[in-house]
Amino acid sequence: MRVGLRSERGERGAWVGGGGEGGQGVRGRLAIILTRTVASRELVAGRCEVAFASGVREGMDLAHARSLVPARVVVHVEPYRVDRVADRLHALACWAVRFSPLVAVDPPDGLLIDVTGTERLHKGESRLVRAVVAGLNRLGFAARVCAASTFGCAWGVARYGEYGLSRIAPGREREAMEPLPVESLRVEAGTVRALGEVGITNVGHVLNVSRASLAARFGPELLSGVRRALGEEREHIEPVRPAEPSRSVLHFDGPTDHVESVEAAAARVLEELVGMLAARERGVRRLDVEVLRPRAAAVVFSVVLSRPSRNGKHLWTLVRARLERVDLGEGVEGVVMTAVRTARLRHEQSECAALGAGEQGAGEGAWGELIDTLAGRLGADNVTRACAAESHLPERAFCQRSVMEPVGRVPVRVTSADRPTVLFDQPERGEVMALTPDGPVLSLKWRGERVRVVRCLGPERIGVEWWRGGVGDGPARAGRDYFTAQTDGGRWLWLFRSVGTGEWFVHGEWG
Amino acid sequence: MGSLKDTPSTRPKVASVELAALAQRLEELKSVLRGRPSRGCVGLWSESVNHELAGGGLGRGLVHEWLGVEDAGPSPRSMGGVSRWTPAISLFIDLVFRCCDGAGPGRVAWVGRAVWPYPAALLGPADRGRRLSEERSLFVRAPRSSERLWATEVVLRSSAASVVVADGSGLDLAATRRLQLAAEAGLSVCLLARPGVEVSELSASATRWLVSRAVSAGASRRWTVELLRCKGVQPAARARSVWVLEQDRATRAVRVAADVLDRSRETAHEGGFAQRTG
Repeated sequence: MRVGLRSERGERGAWVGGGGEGGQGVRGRLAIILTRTVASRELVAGRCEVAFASGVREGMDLAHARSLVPARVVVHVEPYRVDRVADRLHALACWAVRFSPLVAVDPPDGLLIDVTGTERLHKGESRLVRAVVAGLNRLGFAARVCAASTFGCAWGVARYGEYGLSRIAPGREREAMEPLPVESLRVEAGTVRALGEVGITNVGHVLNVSRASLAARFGPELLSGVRRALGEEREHIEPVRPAEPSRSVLHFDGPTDHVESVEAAAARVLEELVGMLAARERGVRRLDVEVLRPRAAAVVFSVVLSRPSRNGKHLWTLVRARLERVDLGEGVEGVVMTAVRTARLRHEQSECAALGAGEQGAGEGAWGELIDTLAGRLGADNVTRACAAESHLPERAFCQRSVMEPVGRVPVRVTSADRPTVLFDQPERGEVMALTPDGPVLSLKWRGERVRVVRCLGPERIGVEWWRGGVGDGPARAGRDYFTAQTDGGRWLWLFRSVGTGEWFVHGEWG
Repeated sequence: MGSLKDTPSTRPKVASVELAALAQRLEELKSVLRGRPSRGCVGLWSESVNHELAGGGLGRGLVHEWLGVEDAGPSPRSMGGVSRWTPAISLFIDLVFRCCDGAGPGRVAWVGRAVWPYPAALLGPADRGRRLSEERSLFVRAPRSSERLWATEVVLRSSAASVVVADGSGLDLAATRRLQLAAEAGLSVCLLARPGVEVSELSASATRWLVSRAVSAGASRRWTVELLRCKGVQPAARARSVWVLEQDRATRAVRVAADVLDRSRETAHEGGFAQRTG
């Protein structure tokens, strides 16, 4: 990550170069590799410090990279997603506003900060640079920082210089940049190749050539790169503006306890908020509504949506359902609505959702609204999705996750063996008569009744999760042998025998 | 003595073909009046089944009741000691896959804890043809029957889901009529699971089926499915109303078992009638 700092007064700027994308890489137990699929091969697109230390480089095959990482380190592999990286970088730029209000994003992995005039605040440039690095390390990033008078010089030294943290005194840009390769002037690959053909490999050579011939042979881009690096040309950055949450307020002239007036006011506030969201092209995912009361604490409730939406009708249905349950007490003197969490929602998406409302392929919009309506009345925990979990024990193989949690986890392999359609909450004990103690079942006494088994298939052994340490809990102390049995009534049951204790349980049935 | 009582012999014999054509025309007019395109239906396990249903399958925008399999014996502890039935979930899963086969992404909502399937059959391995990904299935838990009714209605009206499987135990005629109206407002198929003892309850659903278990000789699973009612088709006009379905263990495909006896309803009906007049 790079943070560029630049000071007007002494023309001081700073570049913080990034060492790589990665979360918890600095601790040495976890290596993170980002992959990109090129022609059905998986290549490494990004790696963290631990992976870098093991020898993983960009462009390597994933299998090769895995073999380089030592066995005691857990490797986490994820596909490289440019939009996620961009979002993260933007968030980091908003974080870096604490150092200076002018922060710009330098994709793919850098930041530019202009620290003109902030030396007094940070008590010196060296402290500022160290504070930036410490802050980034706390967040989990490995960063290279360079402070210089111009952005060009800082960019180059941070990426290609010797040291992770460096500071270039004003007026010394030329000698700092001379040993760096030509890429540090921020030129395109074609120009670099062309320069290489002529034998110009580092910036020193470039500076020795006359400016006119540089422009004539290699284009104006190289010349402007040189001028910007040496400070002869001013460079401007496009700072990010961390957005304020949309908020709309309505205060009444006096407190009122008429339900209709409060509802009408809330509807108007919501309409204004939706207008603000439409102007910013965003949809709300969490809306906080405050009902202000005189001489009492305000009543606050939040409406959470599963998908970003700015459909006024849908939001009003959800808000109204909650507003009805608010205790008006002595009266209400204002309504405030804040869109706490928003996400990008382009204009065409909401229109498509409205169009397809009556048709079979209703689309994501209608499904999202349905989920929100159900969750609003029944509670978000009662509207769930079934997700496959990382376990082979049947009762743990699937879990129910609330619909408000995002999907998009690493896909889990689901077993292809025959599983029943109903699994009991607890395995139920039964008494079994069998030919041999661990053999096929002849008859079963279960739920107080003895049934005869006409057919028994199996066994299928499901072992214990030994990596969880110690023995498993409940019946799974040493594994289970599962049998599929048909009773004389035609009912198919799934029973198991606990290998350690020899007890029989009925775990499920086919409905 | 010469009474003017209507006996079956004096009733005018209207050709059944004309009645069917009239019913079809009426449906078309109704849909034109409502301004909605015709909805189509979902084909079932074999042609002999589809033939008996109005429209050639399970109609979309209608409620279909499935009176589920009864357990013999005392009530299970896990169900709270109240009900002693298990809904025919394997059949529901097969029907859900059939309903979701059409154009557009298929989505299903399972309303009520009793009808929740164990997700292995839904989220099966990706190389199997039939698989519903995680975000296509919605599991709704609503302990009270009023909440279940509301939730089913909301899902049906929004028509975002292609099929809704709901726990309909304890619903009366007014409730099923509400569900039928909600279903007609949308385009989803509603499968209502009810315990077998509620067969005597009045209901406004379009079709009613009774499912019971059958013993199978091999490793496949078998059920006996009886069509109790289909709106728009006279019981006497049906050639068959009982089928034996078989599900293969490996492929999980459900079809009509080949070696089943043909029990026609007319003989039973006439026999009963003769007893009454005799």
